[in-house]
Parts: sequence; structure tokens; C-alpha cells
Amino acid sequence: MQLINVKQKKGRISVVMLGGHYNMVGFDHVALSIYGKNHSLQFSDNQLVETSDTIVSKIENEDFDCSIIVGTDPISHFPWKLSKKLMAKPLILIDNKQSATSYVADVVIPSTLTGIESAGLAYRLDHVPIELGTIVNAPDNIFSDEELLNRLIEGLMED
Amino acid sequence: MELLLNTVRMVDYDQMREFTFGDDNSLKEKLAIGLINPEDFKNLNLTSSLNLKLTSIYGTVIINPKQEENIPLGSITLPVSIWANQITGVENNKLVYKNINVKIEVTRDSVLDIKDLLNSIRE
Repeated sequence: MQLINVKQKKGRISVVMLGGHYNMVGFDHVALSIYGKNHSLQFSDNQLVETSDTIVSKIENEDFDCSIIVGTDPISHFPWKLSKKLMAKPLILIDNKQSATSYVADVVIPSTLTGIESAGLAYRLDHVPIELGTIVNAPDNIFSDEELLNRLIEGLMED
Repeated sequence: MELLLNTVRMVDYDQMREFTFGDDNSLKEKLAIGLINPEDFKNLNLTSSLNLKLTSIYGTVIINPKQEENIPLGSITLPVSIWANQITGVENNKLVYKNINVKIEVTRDSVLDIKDLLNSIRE
């Protein structure tokens, strides 16, 4: 922080929290770029809604009908009281690996490994976007998380 | 006895690695543990066959204690996992993962495996 205070006199310097896992800053980067915030994003009729809710308050207040979880393991990572509330409602998991969440999910949709079985864009820890290619073909009927989400959105639009 | 709990990511005790390369047994062996200072281990009269029951204001969990010289006296460190998250909580919509007071009891009760733990959460 002292370094920032000194450097701030000569120009801008920012602190970026390092993510612990692959592409962890990807969501933050995209959300900040498009909406100017990286949490408490709530949408209604394709519009961002101003809210003081967070994912924690939404789960704690049981203010959701179902959850679609992509590539993460909240059942391992949340305090058990939140996990219990998450598990109490329909839970759909899109992921390519086993986890505590896959053990309890009502529906598990396997996805490809981006950068191995499908191409895609991932953000490095220092927020540099890296284009990833395909190394091997994915098994039949296994799609990328991006394609699965697009199909889910298309399905919802049809209803 | 009371200790100060911190949950921390550790390369040697990583749940993603166990989910990917291990099985439910290795997951429990590597993640359902708590690191404590050897002096605290001695003060608790612990042996390798005994477990610890940890109770915080948020919940209770049984883990297997391991001695680690780098852990400060009076504290216990648990790797981030579903076991550690039995005694973490939420305060004012913020997740509380660190600096939690826990009551420590030595026990012969077994550590729950992941499926039993998930069932206990669901109940």
C-alpha cells in the first residue's frame, strides 16, 4: 500500500487480487468490462438491476428457485448452512470434474475441458486474455460450457 | 481448550487434486485434518489414533490432527474443504473463514467421510 501511495503521485497503480484457479479472473474481468461491477449482478428483462443483494444474501434468504452452477464447487466452499440451502432447491451443475457439488446436484451436465477438448478464451492471473485451442476431440455429445449455456438460454427463450 | 481457527488453501492438502486424482478415502485423509503446533499437540495428550472435535459458533466437525511446527501456538489451520466449512459461517452477508474461536475436544469418534457429511448437511 505504501508503494501504491508513492507511485500514485506519478501515475495510476492498481491492486489486483490474484485468483487461485484457472480463469478465475475471467468472470471478474468480463463483468467489470461490461457492467462496471464484478459481484451482485442481477438481471431482469436483459437489464442489470441495481441491488444490494449478493450471492450470499440470496442463498441465505432462500431467494432463488434453482441454481445453475458452472465449473465450480460451492458445496465444498460455502459454510455448511449456505450449502444446505443450496442443496434444498434444484441444482444443475455444468462441469468437467467430480466435486462435492456433483455428488448432490440434481442434474450434472458434463462439459469439455477448455484448451484441451474445445477452444476458448481464458484470462491469465494478470488479466491478459489467452486464446486457447483444441488439442484432442471431445467425446461425442459433450459440449463446451459456453455452448451448454447458450443452449439453455435458447431453450428458455422458446418457453 | 480453545484455539483460533484459520482455513487456508494448501498445495499438499488440496481438495481439487483429491477429487481429480484420488478417491473418497484419500479426500478424507488429506482434507479432514487440522494442523496444530507440536506443543499444543502435546498439551492435548494427543496420539495418532485420536481425533479432535472442533466446535465454533457456526457448527461442529471431527478432524484428524497433525503436528506442524510452522503453525503458531494457540491456533489450528484447516485446509479449505467441506470439513472445514462445517465450522465456518456468515456474518452480515460476509463469509467468515478466518480467526474463528473453536473449542477443542479430544475424541475417539470417527471422522465422517464425504458422503456421510453431505447427508448430515442435507438432514
